[in-house]
Amino acid sequence: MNKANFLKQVRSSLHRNANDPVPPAPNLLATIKDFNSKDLIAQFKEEFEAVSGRFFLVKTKKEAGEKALEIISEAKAKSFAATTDKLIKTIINKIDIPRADKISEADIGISSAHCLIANTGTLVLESSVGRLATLLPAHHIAIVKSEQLLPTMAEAIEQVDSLPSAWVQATGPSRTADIELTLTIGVHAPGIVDVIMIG
Amino acid sequence: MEISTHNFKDNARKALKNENLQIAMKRATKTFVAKREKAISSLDNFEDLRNYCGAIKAHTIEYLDHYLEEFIENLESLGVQVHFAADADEANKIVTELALEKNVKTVVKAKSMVTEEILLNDALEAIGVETLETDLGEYILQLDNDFPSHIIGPAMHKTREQVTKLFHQKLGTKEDASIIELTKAAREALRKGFLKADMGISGANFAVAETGSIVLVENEGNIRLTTSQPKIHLAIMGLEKIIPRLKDLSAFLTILPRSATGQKASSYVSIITGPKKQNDPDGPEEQHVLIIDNGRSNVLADPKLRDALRCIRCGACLNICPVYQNVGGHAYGWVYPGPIGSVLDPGLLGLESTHQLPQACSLCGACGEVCPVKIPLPELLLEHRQRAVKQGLSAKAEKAGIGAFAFMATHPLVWNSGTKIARLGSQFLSREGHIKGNYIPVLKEWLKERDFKTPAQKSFRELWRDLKDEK
Repeated sequence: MNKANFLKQVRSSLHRNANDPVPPAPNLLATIKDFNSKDLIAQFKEEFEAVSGRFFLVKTKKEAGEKALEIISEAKAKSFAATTDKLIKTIINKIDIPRADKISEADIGISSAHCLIANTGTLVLESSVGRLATLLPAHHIAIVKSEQLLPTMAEAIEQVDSLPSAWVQATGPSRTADIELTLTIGVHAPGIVDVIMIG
Repeated sequence: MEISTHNFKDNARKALKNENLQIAMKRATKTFVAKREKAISSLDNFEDLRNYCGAIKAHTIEYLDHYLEEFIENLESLGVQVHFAADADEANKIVTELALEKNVKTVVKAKSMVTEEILLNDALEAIGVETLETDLGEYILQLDNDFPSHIIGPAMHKTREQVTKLFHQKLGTKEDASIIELTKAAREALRKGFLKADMGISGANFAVAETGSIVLVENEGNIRLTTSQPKIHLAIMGLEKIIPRLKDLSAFLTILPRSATGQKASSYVSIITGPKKQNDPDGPEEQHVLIIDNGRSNVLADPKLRDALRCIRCGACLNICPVYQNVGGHAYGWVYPGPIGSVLDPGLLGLESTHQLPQACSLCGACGEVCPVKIPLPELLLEHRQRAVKQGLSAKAEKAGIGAFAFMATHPLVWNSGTKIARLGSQFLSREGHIKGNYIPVLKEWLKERDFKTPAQKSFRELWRDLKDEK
């Protein structure tokens, strides 16, 4: 079926003509925003830990790099993958394990985030810095700044000028409950997600 | 799956005797209902959100031609190839031709109800394309040649013991493997599929008219992989998935995971807007969107039933429904079970083959109360019942019974003497306080699905009279 006929079918089902007026869509309620948001860092930590994320607060970028090295050595990772985020450029230069030839072979993926949503503990990842480095490895480390925190998804979406090809809101590790609704962490995407926040 | 909506009564009877199903259903629906309640009660504005989301969906459906056109134009300007299918056959033809043209050997699939509706996997397998379901629940079903029984928990009719046995046979996991080990085995098996797949096929939870975005909600990460790793991404959606604006999403994404799994947020929400951009390091080079009618424009043309197209497929009405809890999804005989299925299936397939579904309802009203987009499910179920009667689709014996009742109820003398005779007569048919009507043709059919208590020997009026006389 072509586009014109498809739309014609829909139009005739609704008894409408091509140029019939359309009133504006109902407007968003103010109440969906979380105006009484407390300390955003504390809120993010609480929500992110509630979905099994691991949260580390540091003071400087240098400390963030040290924390990342510590996590990598504890995880006994052999190789890593990374996004092209500016914030992590100098940090990954100091990493003492090799960068994986293929992202699918990396033990750890390192990235920053486009922004963070406090009331759900969410990292917003976007495709212009790469999708697979935060997706294929079983362990994801995100190094972020507290200034990137926004209270709710509504604010995060509001500040977008033009959407990337993929805007991903990632909340904690990959999970499933498809076998008897029993929660199991780590299916297809990272089962361990660490956030190192400079704040 | 083969459509068997006309066979609900037999299907349901079998389901009630299936021990594994009964165990699995009790475990699952109870958990779903409790989790949802907890997540909803943590919101202080759930009613406002329901009203808003219901109003947005109602508005979009009323002016769907406008929003569809806007959505399609935005897709085209993003370089997305848009396809249209009137029915299942046309949809399958489009997908298989695309697969052949692009020389596709392996497809990875994210969970999608609309592809279950059109039996896409069979069509792809028929042209020799390996098709892998990647959602854990769907993967379990594919290994077992089974089909989904729930909109969001497709394998919830299976017990863990059944899955353990299945994986032992098909994937060589241990006989007593834990759920964690089973999940790991699925990850390893499917990861190979992801890395070699030439095409990823997803559904769509929402389609944003204003931006041409496909929005996908999940927990496992298989949808992110399906839409990121293969060089072609095809999204298949019913024509009703549209919402007008990007900013409407935050309301829908607040109520959907809470209503579905009782989560505040799903692990991953992907807003996909066009194929990979020139400077993106990775992502699909090509994006296609296939928009399917398959009966939806009939529902759209029916002003009373149109509201059913608001559905965002959260599954809350299934979990809360006392009939669904007992018979499970397969009994309904098609991809959309439970209250929403009983409303939607007659719209999509016609009432003739589906009129038993809206009858499988005790009119408790719970489905209408939980629906996050305020579909008036109980009213629509009644609407179907009325139409079934008007079209002469109800059982003959039942029709005769109701006719007799109407005659008695409008003739007091007949009523009084009739009920007296019935009360006396019923004592002879009574076993353990219930009427067993196996010998009476009209009653036999009716009592198959119902428990009917033996009436008291005296009516309330008679007892009242006696009581007065005693005084």
